[in-house]
Amino acid sequence: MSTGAEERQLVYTMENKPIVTCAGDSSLFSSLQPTLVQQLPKESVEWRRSYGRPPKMINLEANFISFKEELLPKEGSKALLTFPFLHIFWTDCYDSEMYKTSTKEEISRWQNALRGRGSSDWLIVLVEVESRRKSKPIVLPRMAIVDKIRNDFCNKQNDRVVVLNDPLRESARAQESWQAFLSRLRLLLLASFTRNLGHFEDDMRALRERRTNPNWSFAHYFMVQEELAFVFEMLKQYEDALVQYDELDALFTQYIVNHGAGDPTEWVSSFCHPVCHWTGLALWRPIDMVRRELVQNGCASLLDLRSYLFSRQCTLLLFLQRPWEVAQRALELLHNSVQELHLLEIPLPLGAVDCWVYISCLEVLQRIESFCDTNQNDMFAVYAAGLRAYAREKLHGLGNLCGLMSCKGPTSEELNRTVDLLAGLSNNDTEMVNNLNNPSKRLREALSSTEAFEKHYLELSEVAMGTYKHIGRLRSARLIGKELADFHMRKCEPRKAEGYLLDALKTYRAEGWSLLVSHTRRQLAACQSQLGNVQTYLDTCSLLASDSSLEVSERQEYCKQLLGSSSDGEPVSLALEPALHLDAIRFCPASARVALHATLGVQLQLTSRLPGPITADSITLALHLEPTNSKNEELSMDGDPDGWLRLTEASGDRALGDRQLPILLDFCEVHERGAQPDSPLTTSGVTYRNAHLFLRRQDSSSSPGRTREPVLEDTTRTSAVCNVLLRPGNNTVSLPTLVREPGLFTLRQLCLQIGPLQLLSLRLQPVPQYTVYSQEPQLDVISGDDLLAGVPQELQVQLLTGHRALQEGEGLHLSLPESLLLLDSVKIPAHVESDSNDDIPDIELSLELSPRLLRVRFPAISGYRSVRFSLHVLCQPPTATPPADDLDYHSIQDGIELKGLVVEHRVSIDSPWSIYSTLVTLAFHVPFRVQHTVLTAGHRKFVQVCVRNTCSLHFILSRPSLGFSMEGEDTTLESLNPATTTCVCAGKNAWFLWEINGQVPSPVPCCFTVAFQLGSTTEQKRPGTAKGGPNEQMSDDGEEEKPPRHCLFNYDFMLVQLATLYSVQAAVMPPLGQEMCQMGLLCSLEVSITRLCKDDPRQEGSGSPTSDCGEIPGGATVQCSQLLYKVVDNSSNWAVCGRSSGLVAMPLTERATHKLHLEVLPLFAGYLPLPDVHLSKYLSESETDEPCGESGRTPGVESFSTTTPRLSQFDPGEVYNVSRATQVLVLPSPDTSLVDITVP
Amino acid sequence: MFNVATGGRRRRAFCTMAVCVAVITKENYPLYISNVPAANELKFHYTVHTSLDVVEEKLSAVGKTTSDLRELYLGLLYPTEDYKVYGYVANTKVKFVIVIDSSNTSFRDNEIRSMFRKLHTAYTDVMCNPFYTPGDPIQSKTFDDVISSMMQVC
Repeated sequence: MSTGAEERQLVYTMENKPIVTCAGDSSLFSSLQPTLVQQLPKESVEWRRSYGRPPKMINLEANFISFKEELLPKEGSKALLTFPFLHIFWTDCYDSEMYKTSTKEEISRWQNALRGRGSSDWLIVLVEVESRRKSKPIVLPRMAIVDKIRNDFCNKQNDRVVVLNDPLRESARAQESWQAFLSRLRLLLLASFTRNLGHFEDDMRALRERRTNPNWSFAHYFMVQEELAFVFEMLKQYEDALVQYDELDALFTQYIVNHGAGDPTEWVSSFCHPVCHWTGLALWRPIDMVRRELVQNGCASLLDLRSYLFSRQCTLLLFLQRPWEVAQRALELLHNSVQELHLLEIPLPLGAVDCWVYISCLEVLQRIESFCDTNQNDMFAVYAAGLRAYAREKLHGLGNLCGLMSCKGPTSEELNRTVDLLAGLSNNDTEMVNNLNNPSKRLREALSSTEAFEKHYLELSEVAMGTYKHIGRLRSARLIGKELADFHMRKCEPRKAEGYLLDALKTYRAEGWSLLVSHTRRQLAACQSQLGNVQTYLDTCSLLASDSSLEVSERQEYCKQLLGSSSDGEPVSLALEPALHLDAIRFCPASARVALHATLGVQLQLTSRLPGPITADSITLALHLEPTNSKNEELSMDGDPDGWLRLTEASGDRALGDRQLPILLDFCEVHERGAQPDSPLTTSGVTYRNAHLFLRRQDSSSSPGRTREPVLEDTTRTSAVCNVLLRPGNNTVSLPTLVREPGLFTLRQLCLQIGPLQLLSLRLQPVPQYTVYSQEPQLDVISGDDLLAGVPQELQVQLLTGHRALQEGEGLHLSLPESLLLLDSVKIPAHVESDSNDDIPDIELSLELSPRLLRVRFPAISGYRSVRFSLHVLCQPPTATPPADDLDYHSIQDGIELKGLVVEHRVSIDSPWSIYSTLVTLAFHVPFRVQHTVLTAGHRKFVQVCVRNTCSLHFILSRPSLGFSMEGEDTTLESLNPATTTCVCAGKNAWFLWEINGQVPSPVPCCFTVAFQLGSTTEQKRPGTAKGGPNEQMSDDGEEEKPPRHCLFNYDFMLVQLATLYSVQAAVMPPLGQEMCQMGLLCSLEVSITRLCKDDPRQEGSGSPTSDCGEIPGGATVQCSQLLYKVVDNSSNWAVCGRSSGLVAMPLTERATHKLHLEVLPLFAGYLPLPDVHLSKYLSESETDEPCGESGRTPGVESFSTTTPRLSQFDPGEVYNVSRATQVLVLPSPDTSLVDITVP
Repeated sequence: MFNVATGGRRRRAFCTMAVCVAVITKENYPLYISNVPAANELKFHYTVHTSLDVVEEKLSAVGKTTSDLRELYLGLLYPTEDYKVYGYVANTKVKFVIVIDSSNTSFRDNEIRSMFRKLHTAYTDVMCNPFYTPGDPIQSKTFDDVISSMMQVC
């Protein structure tokens, strides 16, 4: 590097190659040079490096120039580019003479020159040409010259001489020698590189170590290291070249940092000079010579140095095929440079940095785009996006500075500033000026007018946004969009701005960045305000006014806007949320069931998020009515213990980041049944009420501001309250509602009217409902489980007033049957209840009793009350004979039964609210069942009455009496009953007995009467006995001093009494000679039938005397009635031997006796009852035509003779068996081993 | 590369550690953002929010290659003229972002890493608090102290 001009020339050519000088025979070399230049780079050699750097394969090239003395480096020269790495001496000397005379001399001189400059990289090439030798056959050994050269010059460096055989010929030998030569050449070149570069690097390092010297020059060092970089570049070692620049970069950066940190270095201050050019990077040229010169002369600015350094790095990176790294480094460089400018406090006109950065970004982008398609390469797109965004940001700043963004245009100050900036962009570089897409030119154009600026700015912003979107950086794109919106707003184009703001808002809302949401929303409000879209503007105002992250004053301003919209008079509907939120609803009563015409209180918990108190003109709840079926389904409303039904947050705004599930899901059970109330379960499951919030599609909502717009619901039915002051925070609002329609009401919507502003809620979730029921007055008589006749009974009457309130004096009219006695006096107490469980004092009812009509008068009673009162009644037991259908048992049992008597009384009640009477049937059960029996003992007759207590109470019976209904009979009844009372426990019988004295006509009606009262022990069992009532005498308390009230029980029956006709006496006589009967021995059964009465009254009545006679000896003339006897032993104790039955003719005279003698055999030992002797009437043929209803109606008698004679059974009481129940002792048979003993 | 002698007095600006620390949930909403010049809150919010782009980019790039062994520290997310934004993602996909002033050149990568580890530990402590509902903004004095120690001027 002798002169600057020369160096400049060299650097410019760029096709630098390592210099190899050639001395000696120049014509010879000229002939070989083309082959040599071509062949040298064909093979790569391995370059082993010093300092542990990895070896590299390298293809060597060389620039062969003829040797000149001047080319040799001077002492101390650091130039490397012009450094001759190898010196070659060419000779084709084949003659030793010639060698001695000239060649040796030449070589020697050449070597001296080299040695004088300390160059030890040389090579002597001896070219041998066969043809010459052939033409001149010389005796001298051919090798002699080589050896001579070696001897003379190569002091033990035999490899410094190479023989090239016939280089211009195509022969194997020639090839071989070429290869040998080339490889030698390469090795020597490399060795020279290694040595010389090593030297250079050592020197360079030494220079660097001296950097703390005050005189150390960075510019000088820069040039030195760049020299090395150039050489590496020359050797196509771009990586190494880049390392040199990176080292320079790092060194420089570190110094700047240290300088900025308060460690000043002298040479750094040279970079602190004011910058007057900010033309940006210039990457089109491989080497920016203008800037390099500035650097070299030490008058480069910081930006110049940075620009130059980066342009070199860029060039090398592009050689290395790493364009994206250029972009990456560019961004770092720009950021870093800006920082450094700040750090060094370099004075710059405002905006100059922006110009520089803007131009540089575009320059880098253009350079890379020319190199590869940026859009195809995502890796690059990442950096390109950054660069574009950065350029856009800077252009934005410039627009701000130069007043190009306002719609008014720049001011004069701003114009001056523009002029200053343009001055720094002036460029003398013709090549750059001619470039149409020159970023600098574009910037100048952009700064020239607002229109051009707008065009450029929008274009750049669109591209930057597009790139960000392309690589998926939506948030970054949104940020640019917001800036664009800002730009449009400044340009007074709110319509264009709105879209960008809405997009940004959507993104921020989706991710829940509240501060950004608030900020963007504020901008949106300004935009919408300009647009004049009242609806959306107020919507945004409402959101902002309730945004707690904003200042209160600001919120109040928005609130004022919101409420001040009323001046326009145009009605506006907005969503209730978020300004107000309906938290909870409470019904009063909490059951949410009210009667028609009652008042229902609805309490609302409203949270106001507005900054100040507001007065709502009205608060309205829109109601929806579903007519319900009469069945009142239970509303399942699960509110708080306080009854507050919490409503879900339906707001779109509060659901920030609403895709995440809450921690606790509020699940509820769901059952579904069929249409019928008792139909089986069809489905059951678990559901989440707010599932729709999670299941709805996120992107489908066209409006980003609101997910659902509230729609005004049907307001035909409303509940409203006027002039409500709502303070910030929680408010409780009560809406009293008078319900006028029955049905199921659903609260659909809350609407606040503030002037023309209408705030509407969404449909309320979960659905709050209340039921209004309407009820007709209802009257019920609750009788006890069993009413008993003859005992005072309590009738409970329940009156549900329903919707009809009772007026004072209104009352019920009860018409009572005659046999139903009312026991109450004029006043009775009544208990009043209501649904709401309020304590209502008892009232008194007045009774007016006229015959068979009871008037119950009420005091005034409001609607929906339940009035209960008791009436005490007594049902007279029936005196009439039981109806025929109750006589089922008669034929089975002897006697008459009064069974299961139920006395039904119909009470009709007239009420004031209905023209129809209410009919109530009261069933009184008769507590007793009575049976009577006629008993016979010889002539004497007795009447036995059995009273059976059929109910579960105890009764005390007293004063039993039995009498004939007919008077004037001689017959009397003599009571055999004790005078005391008789207690009949539940389910037990009491017996009464009378003897009939005298003959009574049969049948005769009889009447049994007994007084009864409840036993004292059963007092507590009586249901609903009123205590302390006005009718003390009612109660049958045994401890009462007042005489207990008796009731008479009557039993009418027909007494059928027949005179005893015959008595039968039987006796078993032991066999003769025996004292006792003995088992197995025949005994005699003596039967004596005695006629007791003179004649058979019925036969008398029939008027046909029995004509049978004659068969019985000794009574031929005596009228006889024929009897059939039959000895039967039903218990098989006896075996009747011989005739067991026979006919007996009994004379119709009193005390006529007939004796029978039969033989019986006792089958068992012990006391045996006697065999039965049955008598029956034997009716001969003549008597068969007589209707014998008695016998025909008697079942169970088998007719012995089915032909003409018949048997007729005696009626009970006509035959008296004297020996009934008599027993006889039978001894066991003495000689049998087996003894059977029957103990009866 | 060079051991350029540094020393002497330093400017105050150099000593500021982080200027903004943010904790962001898996769903990308902020749990905690604290920044030193409180006036610039909005700007930092925008910066942190934008940095999520790069966090997601890096996460998806990582997911493709090695799924299980993931480096939590994401490194420099993106530099701006004024700030350098660093990211760190916990295994629960909770993101930590630290913003450092660009003029602060004395920072080493290791220091950032240790800051993140400290932050992660502090966050874990917050999570271990039984009275803290996951997903709520962090309001903890202990956590505040840790953050302010990162942002304090030394």
